[in-house]
Amino acid sequence: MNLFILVWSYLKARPLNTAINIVLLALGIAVITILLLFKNQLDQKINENSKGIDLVIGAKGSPLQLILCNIFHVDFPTGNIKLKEADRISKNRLIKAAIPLALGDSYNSYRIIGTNIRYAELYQAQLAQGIWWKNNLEVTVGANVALLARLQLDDKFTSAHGLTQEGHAHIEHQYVVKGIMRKTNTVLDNLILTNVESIWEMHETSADSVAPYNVKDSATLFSSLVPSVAADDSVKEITSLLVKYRSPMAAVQLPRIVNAQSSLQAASPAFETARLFSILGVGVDVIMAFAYVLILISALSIFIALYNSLKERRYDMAVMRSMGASRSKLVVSLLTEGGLLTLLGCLIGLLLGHGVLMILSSVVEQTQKAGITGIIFYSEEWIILGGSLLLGLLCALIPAVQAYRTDISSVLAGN
Amino acid sequence: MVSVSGLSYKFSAAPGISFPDFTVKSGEHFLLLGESGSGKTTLLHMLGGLLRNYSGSIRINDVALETLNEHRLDKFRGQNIGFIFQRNHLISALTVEQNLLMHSYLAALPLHAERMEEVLRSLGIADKRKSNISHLSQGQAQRVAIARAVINKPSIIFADEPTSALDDRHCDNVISLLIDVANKNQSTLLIATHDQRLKDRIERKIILTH
Repeated sequence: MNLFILVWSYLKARPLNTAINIVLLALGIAVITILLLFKNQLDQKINENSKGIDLVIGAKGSPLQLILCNIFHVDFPTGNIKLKEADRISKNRLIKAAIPLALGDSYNSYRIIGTNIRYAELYQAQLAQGIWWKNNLEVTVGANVALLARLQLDDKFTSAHGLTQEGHAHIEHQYVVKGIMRKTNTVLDNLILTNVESIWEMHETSADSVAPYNVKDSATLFSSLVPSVAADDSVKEITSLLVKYRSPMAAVQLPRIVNAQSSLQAASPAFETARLFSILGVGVDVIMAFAYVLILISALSIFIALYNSLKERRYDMAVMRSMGASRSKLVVSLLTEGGLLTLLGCLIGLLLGHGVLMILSSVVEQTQKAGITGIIFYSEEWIILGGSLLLGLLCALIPAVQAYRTDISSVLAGN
Repeated sequence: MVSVSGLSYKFSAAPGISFPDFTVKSGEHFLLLGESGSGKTTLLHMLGGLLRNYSGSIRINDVALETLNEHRLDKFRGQNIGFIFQRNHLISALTVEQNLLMHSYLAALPLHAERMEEVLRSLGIADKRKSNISHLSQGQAQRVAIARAVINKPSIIFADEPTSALDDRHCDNVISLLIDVANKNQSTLLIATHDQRLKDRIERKIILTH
């Protein structure tokens, strides 16, 4: 026998009351947990995905779209830019490194990216199987692509024009899988990488496909971004350029230089994602407020339950005193009751939050692609747990003080 | 052993009550008689350490209660005294067994399974051990209350109007049980009552006049 059994028995004796208190709190905690897990993982993904990219240069349009399309690969391209112009910009002394991206095709809604090996290096990608792409129409695929689209080494596939599944298929050319990357937990997992030339080859009409883009003339200078192309080629286009600054100074000057050109725009990932979050933030705040209201109601409900039970248990407490219980023991038992209620509610809420995300990530492909999981724990959850415990103690404080002050003799005498 | 000398208690609003001096030897049983309002319950609560701030002296087992601080008084009460109230005041969220265990736990005394068995058997409620309090009859509940009072083998049992709500047959049963249980545990029994039916059962009496 101990106080815990007593407290547990009291909770069990009022099952409905106890259940509603726990459920109310659990719901509030679950909502907060889901938001916490979602936001933290999203923040982490965004940081990992835009790591090492200071600026994206692409065609004029929405800067947010430019970022979403070229870093997170969720939105559509703003248009194309001339390789020649991109080349010129990339030679600017403020730029340390520039990676070309050519978008436009997909396989089973997985995007095919024409780029160079530096793009894979940006995410510290490593090969799980096979080799990196080398020649035209060779691809190296991300871990999720291999898994979900069931691609294996030396598999051949036809890409579809556009970034959705409905696009027109380029049946005349087939890609071949040369390598599969290890999981990086970045956007790279959902991409199919190839060289820029392959993308061009896909889109050339049969008429000009004969014309080789590598006119290897000893006198010709070659493009620094796509070395097989002559530097003064005025036809070739790419989608965007990922840029790393040489010095902080570039952050001030480079966007201005780029935006001054009529066909180009520069967008900063850090700035645009911050803008995106401030737009989404309102929605998150509303849900968060809703969760806090739930928690507040449950706290009130627990307080009322304890306060009412105090009246019912006046005799119980007086009798316990007559059996040798000290005042402090009664206080501890009430505080334990409040704490136990909120602790249970909180634990169930945390489990519920993780559970919902686990189900979500196994059912919804989009969350799977985004790499959001329910099996991850953050230190903030300890704060939630501690806060809940504190809330329970707070709810029990007034009833506990009343229990402390109870005059046993007058209760037992029935006055 | 209980001994009282020069005892009086003053309620804040009413004139004080003085109590006669008396001594109860170990193992003796006494009735505490008096009209309603004569201070029977007050005296019982003072003797049991439930009520403090009296003047005079109460010695139980050679310990002067007024010298103990509240915490030590709680402990002393739990280990030496058993209470039986007019209403049973069992903790309804607990089972019969847990109600008894609670007393040992709160008094910080060990309880052996044989003792539990012995007490429940002697009161004829061994089969109710795991029952809920709400499933007991009035008579069974009273037996549980008695069992709870004696489970720690207290040296003194204080009973406050244990029979006033009972009919003649049950009254007779309960008082027999109380005396029997008190004798078995070598406890002193002190019953505060105005129930005339008990007068023949216990000879020694303390009479409060107001």
